[in-house]
Amino acid sequence: MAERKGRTVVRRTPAVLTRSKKGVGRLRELAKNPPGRLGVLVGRGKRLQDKAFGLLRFKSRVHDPKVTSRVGTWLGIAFTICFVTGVISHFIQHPAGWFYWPSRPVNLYRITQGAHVVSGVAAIPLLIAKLWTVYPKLFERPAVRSVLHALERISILVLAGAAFFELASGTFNAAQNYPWNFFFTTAHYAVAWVAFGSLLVHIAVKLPLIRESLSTQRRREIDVSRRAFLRTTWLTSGVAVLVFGGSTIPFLRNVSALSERSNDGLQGLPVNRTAKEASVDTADSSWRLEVVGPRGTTTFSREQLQTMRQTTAALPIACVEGWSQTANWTGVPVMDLLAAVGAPPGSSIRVSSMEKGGLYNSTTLPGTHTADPLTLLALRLEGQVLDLDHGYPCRIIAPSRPGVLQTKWVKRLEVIT
Amino acid sequence: MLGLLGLAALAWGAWMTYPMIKDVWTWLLAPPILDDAVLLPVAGLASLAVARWTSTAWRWPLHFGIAATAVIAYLAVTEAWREYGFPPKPGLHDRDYVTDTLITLAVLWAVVLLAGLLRTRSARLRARQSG
Repeated sequence: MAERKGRTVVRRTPAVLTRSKKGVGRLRELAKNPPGRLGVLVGRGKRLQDKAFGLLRFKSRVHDPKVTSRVGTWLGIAFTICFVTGVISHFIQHPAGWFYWPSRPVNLYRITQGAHVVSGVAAIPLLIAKLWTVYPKLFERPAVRSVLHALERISILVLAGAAFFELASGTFNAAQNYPWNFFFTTAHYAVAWVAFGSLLVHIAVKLPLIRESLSTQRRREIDVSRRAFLRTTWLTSGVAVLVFGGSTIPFLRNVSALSERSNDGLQGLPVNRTAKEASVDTADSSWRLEVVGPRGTTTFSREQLQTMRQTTAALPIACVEGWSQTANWTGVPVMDLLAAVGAPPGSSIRVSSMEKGGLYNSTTLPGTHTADPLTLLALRLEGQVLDLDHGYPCRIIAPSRPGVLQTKWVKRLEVIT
Repeated sequence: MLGLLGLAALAWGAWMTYPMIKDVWTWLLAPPILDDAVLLPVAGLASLAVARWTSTAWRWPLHFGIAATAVIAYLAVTEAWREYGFPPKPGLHDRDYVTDTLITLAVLWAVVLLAGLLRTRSARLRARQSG
């Protein structure tokens, strides 16, 4: 041992290696305490590292489990809403046999998908604040104490990675912006399970600490600086919702700077997919709607459809990307068309579009919706003939359905059950 | 029980993610690394600077202003940077997002300024009353 500038320095040389240590053990010892000049350099490196970590003194009182648990609780709530509403949206678009989605209230999907986007946006500041409260743990030494500790750290990396992935890909998707090579829908859904699963594991591991931190006794220890941090976090989440949520929350429409939808849509309604994008040029007088039922195929011209019983309903278009808007639609109830071809009420139908290609040029409308008198084959929007970009000559508009399934430019309805 | 449910969900998600891992891994790894190596250190330094060079009355409004600006800036990128975005359509993504964002930031910082001034004034009044 030697004294240097008041500090005890342990000098280790290869002499400490005993002759009994051979092979791997000797190599390990050599790697830890290299001989000669290399040993001196490694020693200096270690001292520099100690100094750097010494500088990282996190004095702030917000790096505390009481703060982490409070932010974490709200983050957990936001992620749970996001996950549940996201899974609902997935199953509406890819229904399993057991899945049931009601057609009423008419705004149900608008609410669930709006909640999905709003909770996701609110979660961005919450996630960053949560990570800030536990930031000093990143510099804990030793970095890995045991295999279990290593697994816990890896699981947190998985949770953080998946959580950021969901929030980043979700906000870019809401803006219909895709700076990546993967297919958004599949990746967002798959990683959502990773994020939610690792969140549950994280909560399970930390449950005793969370309970203790949220206890009434600990609540009294939330001092001024911690309260200020929590207040800043809640307010920043509120600001995020305020600037982004206008496309889904009507009363925020005029104050949301980053709302993706404007008031400049055709016939007062945004167009998500134009006729040009769908390679639909026009529909001439030769256009006929084919309805395939138990009695074979029946065709209807647009004029014939106009002579049938017309229903007008205020129904929302609620897009998977989060924007929504209610409009007044007029058209033939789908249940009347089914009755005209002898199909029993509540039959499921396949709806085919004139759209060439595209993932949603053919969709399935379940019996719950075809039995609803507000599910229309719409011919008019706000009293005017449908614009080509809104689906002329006719389109499906059903209550509580994602916009991508409200098939435009319909050419064929086929009873499938 | 919660842990087991979580592990099951995690395994299901990992199984679905695996086939596309070569496309998604950078988007899974880069954000937490950027957060830990860039965003949080910058936030820490900003917080330190606010604490060192401003009075107590200004700290909370400034922290809020900086945090909200960062979040608005991120959200603005998704709409304003359209290199990989769908082109604007009637009623969708057809607004002047840069101008709207700048107006929002101006309003935000006006609120921060007002809050700072009001808190400074009330701190002075309190000091005068107690002194």
